[in-house]
Amino acid sequence: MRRMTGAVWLGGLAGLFVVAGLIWLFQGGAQAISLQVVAWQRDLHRALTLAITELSGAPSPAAWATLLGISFGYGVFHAAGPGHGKAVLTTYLLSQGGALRRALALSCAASLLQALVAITLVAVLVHGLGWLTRQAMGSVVWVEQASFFMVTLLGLWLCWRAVRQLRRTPAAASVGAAATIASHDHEHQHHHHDHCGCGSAHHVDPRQAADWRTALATVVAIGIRPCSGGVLLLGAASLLGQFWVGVSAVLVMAAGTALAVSALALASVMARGWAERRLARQASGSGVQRMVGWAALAGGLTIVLLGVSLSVAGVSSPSRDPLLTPGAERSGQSQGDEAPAPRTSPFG
Amino acid sequence: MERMTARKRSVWWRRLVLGAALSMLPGLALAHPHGWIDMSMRVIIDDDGRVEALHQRWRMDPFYSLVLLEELGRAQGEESLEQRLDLLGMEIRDTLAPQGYFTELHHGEAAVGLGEVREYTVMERDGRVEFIFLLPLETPLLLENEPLVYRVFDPTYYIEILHEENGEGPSDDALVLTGAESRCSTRILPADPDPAKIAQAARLDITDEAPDGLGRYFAETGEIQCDA
Repeated sequence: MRRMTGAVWLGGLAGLFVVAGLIWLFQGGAQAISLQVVAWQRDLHRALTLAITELSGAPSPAAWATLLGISFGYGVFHAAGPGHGKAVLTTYLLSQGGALRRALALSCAASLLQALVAITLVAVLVHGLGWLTRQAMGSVVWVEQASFFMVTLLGLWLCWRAVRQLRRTPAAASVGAAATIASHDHEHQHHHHDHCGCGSAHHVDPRQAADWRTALATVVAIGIRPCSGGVLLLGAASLLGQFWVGVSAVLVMAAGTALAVSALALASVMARGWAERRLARQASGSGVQRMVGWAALAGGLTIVLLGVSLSVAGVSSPSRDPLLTPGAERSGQSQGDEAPAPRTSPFG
Repeated sequence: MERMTARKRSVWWRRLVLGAALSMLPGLALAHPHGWIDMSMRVIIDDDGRVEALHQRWRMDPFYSLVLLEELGRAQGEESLEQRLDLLGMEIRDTLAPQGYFTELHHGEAAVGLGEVREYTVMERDGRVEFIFLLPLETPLLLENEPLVYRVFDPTYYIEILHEENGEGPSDDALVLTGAESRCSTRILPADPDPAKIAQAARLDITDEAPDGLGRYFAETGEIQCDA
């Protein structure tokens, strides 16, 4: 028996080293890839600017093809790069579950909404209300904050749902290993099994547990935030008299983003499916259900964490241009140094 | 025994979810630039062979220029476009002054102090807005054997600042010396960002503790070396 334990320890230690090595490799690789993605995004951004400028000078089918091709690529890489939307979506799908089709619909809807918000912002603020493009870009900061706030709310909602589901799940009613630990781990749940002790009758398909309302909330929370780059692109295209060129570019970009985000969403759903199947082999129905509940809670908490940290970090995020936005040090100075009235953005 | 494995599984499952979500956090601040500036640098050297000032010309990208020109065109008042460009110049100068004009200067290992910009101008050429300014050194500097090294960057990396280039690399006039003797040479080193450092900077940005942002890692380095 003792020798057995030693072997387990040795095996565990070896496993730990392998995992640590893999994480190290993966991190290095991920860092190198993310750097490469930034470089590609930068190149595509420049190419896009030049393509629209060229198209406004001499519109031709070739110029259009170039523009739309670049827009699509930009969309793909924009999604492959960082973004809180993907973190929220992935966490949502990993922790709340969902069918493949739902994952695809969520990704596409969020990407499309993001483009529509940018188009609406420019159409309403710049074309409708006569704002300057730079003022419209400034407004992105506020829409962004709204998005972060909604992410936080979404997380809280998911937590509340998970807690409710956990409380409903029978703690020690069913026979089996999982039920044993459940009652062992969570004594505070004991009083529940009097009225909830109906075994697996409460069994809820986790795919249905994640209902369409939270899915909708997820789409809105992450899709409402437009990219300030998209607003700049649309504004500049308008100034060149090419608003519809800008709209086409942004929509094609959304298609690219949807493609990349869908891939990520499918991966999350498959990862969850795999974990669920493994779990089902180990534990009884209610055990699985409890763990699904805990996973949902962990996911909700993670989304709250994301929302809060983004709200805090968002304040200092470089979404406004650094050449003309007075820096932090300058805000304490006298108003006399400020820009002349017509240039002051309504958001300060 | 059975109990233990089940418990471990539950922990493992929770960690998987949490870990997957948290692993995405570090990359969040790693954004790409949304505009660019083509910069050319003229190093002004006085009669005694000391570096006096950096004369910089920043060409804003076409979109940013468009947006700025829209603003100037729409402004109310009697000023001519010329005067409005001057006002814009003042505004840019005032914004950049507390940020050290995005310019970092070193002589050997030591940081070199910079003075205030008093001479500057803004003009429009071929649809691009240009900001031209003379950035004096706090005190004129004799280079001797140590190289003078500068980096110009927007710390937030919202705007990418690189030397003027001609498709293959920096243009010949991207970095020039005026009044210099032939014993001085210049070179422009491309950025060689270290992925690990960038990941760290991006992570720090989230908690707002990063001493300097991402931009520095993507900045080119200009070097002036004079032989004694």
